[in-house]
Amino acid sequence: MEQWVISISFGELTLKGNNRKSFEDKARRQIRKATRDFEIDRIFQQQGKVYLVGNPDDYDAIIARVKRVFGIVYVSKCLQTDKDLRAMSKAAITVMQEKLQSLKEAGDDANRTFRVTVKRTDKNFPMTSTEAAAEIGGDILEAIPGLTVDVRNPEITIWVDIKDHAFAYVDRIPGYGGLPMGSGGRGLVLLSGGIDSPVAGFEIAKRGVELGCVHFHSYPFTSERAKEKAVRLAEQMSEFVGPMALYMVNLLPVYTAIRKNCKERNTTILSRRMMMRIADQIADKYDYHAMITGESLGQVASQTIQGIGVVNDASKHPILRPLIAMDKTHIIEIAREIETYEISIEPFDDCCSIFAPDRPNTKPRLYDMEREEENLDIEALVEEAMASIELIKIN
Amino acid sequence: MYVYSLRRPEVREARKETMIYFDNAATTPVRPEVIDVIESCLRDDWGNPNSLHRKGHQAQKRLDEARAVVASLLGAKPTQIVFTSCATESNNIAIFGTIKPRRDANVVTTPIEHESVHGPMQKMKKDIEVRELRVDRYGYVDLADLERKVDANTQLVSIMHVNNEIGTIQDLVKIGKIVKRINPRAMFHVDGVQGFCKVPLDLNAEKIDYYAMSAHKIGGPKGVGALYARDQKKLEPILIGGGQEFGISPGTQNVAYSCAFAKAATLQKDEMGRVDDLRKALVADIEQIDGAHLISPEDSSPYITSVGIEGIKGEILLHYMEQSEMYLSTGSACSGSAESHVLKAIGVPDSYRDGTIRLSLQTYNTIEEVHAFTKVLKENIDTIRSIIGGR
Repeated sequence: MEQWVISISFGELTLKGNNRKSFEDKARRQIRKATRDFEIDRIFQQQGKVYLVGNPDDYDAIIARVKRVFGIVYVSKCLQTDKDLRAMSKAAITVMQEKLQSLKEAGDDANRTFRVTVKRTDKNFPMTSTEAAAEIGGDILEAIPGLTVDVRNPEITIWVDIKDHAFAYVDRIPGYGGLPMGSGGRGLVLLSGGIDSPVAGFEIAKRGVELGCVHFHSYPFTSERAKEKAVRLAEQMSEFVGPMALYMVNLLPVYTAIRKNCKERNTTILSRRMMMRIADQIADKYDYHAMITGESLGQVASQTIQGIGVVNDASKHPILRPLIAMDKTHIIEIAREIETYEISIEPFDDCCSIFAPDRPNTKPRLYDMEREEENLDIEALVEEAMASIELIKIN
Repeated sequence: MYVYSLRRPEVREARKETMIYFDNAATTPVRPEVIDVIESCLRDDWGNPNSLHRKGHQAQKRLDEARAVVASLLGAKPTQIVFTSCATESNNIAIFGTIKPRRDANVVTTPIEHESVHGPMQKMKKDIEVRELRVDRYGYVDLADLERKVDANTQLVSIMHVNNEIGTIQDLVKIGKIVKRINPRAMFHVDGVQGFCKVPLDLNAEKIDYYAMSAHKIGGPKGVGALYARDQKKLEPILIGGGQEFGISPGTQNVAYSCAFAKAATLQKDEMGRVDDLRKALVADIEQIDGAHLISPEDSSPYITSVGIEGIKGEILLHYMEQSEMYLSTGSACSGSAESHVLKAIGVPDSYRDGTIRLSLQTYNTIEEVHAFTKVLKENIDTIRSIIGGR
């Protein structure tokens, strides 16, 4: 009996020894969530791959959602059939015909080279993989004119997996890899409104970390639109990383105090140290285990090694900086992929730009910053900031 | 801590009572009388005015009435009024519909026009010489410069009636006379968006050929404008369609909004002088604020008052004021926080250019509102200065 199914392959999480079961369960839960808008008749597993059965008309849309689940290496639409050579050939021919049809619709109907790759997980199957591949390939050649076999460098590869059943497919649609959401603790993203921080959050979420976000604004020195921009960024991120809490903190009292009591050139570093202290408190209170920032070495004045070191010192929690050595062009590529880029480049001032000093201190020393902070009532400022928190639940 | 939502319309609604809105040059609230007119049109006279049957005829009658009303307000003939979708369209029709690209021809305009005139002029630059007039520190056109720049090859002179950022009223009588004396064939276009029914106008004495208007600055809805055209046959259409609105703004007419336009204009003209006293009170209050400078000329449109305030940024003040449900604007709303080309052209000093705000009144505002507003304004200016000032 033939039926169309979606197959989902996991990468490294299948390697993780004893944790494998719990990882797979998490990934399956995420897959269910990602497909909740669709009717799914059945989810089953055969030798390391997960299969979904639903309405084949929805499969393209389902695949687009499923491939966003972290931990997945690739997704395919397959034709499931009996573990019998003739049946497998028939399925492989159908898959090939479909592929040629879609190429033709895309205006491309040249003659093609192909190969068949059989993966035999069921070692009791009476033929070897190579033998089966040769047979199936021969049947395809007979059935469809205009094809030639090229084992080394084929334009089309037809895959046939022999498991409890046989599965024939042609396209492997890549996922993001990584580890399933919720397998790696909780992290708090410092979401600025720029291009980098959503990307940083995404990269860490890929490692299975559940996210929350904190956004520092300085209303009314900045606009409500800028706050709303942070909300929209978080909403867009959550399309990929799942539901999040977004904590909105008003940093204006902090800026005011720094402006009054400290040297202007240190404003950026001192305010970032304050952000870390506030984020620390949020992390303690709401159970996050690390901070995540979009810092990238040398990108702006505060992101020098010296600046990063001095800011680091203010946080008790580890600060994860997945973009630290990434080029801006690469960061932008990822931002486009997760569709946060267009939101990020909207031109509302974030709090950094209004209070940014003309000549910022790019080589701050911890000793000097601590001297400056003697002029600030840090505890009271952190407390005031914590009292200003607005919580927005995203999704 | 509370769970916060950015979308809470019921809260916004409830606050309306205590709101003070001084951003009427950006847009005005739609007047209840105007809403009634729109509703009756949409409910009863929804026919296509171009249909031959009775339902269509009813709609056509309402459209004709609206046209007649607007014409009489301007002292014009109904065939000289074209309804458009907005003043941007009106300005574009007047400019693109008049200019015939020729290398030795020219058009004359000012550096303080609205984007919907400035933009089309920039676009025409490659096809025709665009001459910009000098303006003084209040934005008044230099008439001697006008004499020099208009010549026998001038196709179009485009000068706004009331400037949208600083309220300056141009002396259109003198300008019109100069233009027509030097070149009677030059078309004289006036962007009248901030002037229409708010300051006096005499199309004949001013020798105006085209006058652009908008409904939403006078208590009407967004989405409808009009163009006065002394002789609409001289205009080359920029949209081609079913020939409606004399073929100049084709497309099935928006009867409801055209009627709304007429109603709003009628009411506005009746109440034209009502903001004079408010303006005096506003200027008097502002003169009490340290480091506040009136940028508008004394005799600007009473509807628009531009003020430069030292030691602040206009946008920050705007956000402070909105916390008290008090609304104002920096420069003009269309260009947001980008630097204003008007303020640049008239040479506002650096010390308060960033701190420029625009307070724009409408006839429903009251003297109490003026005093309440300027009181909070002053408090917020002090707060901002104390933060920005540093040590």
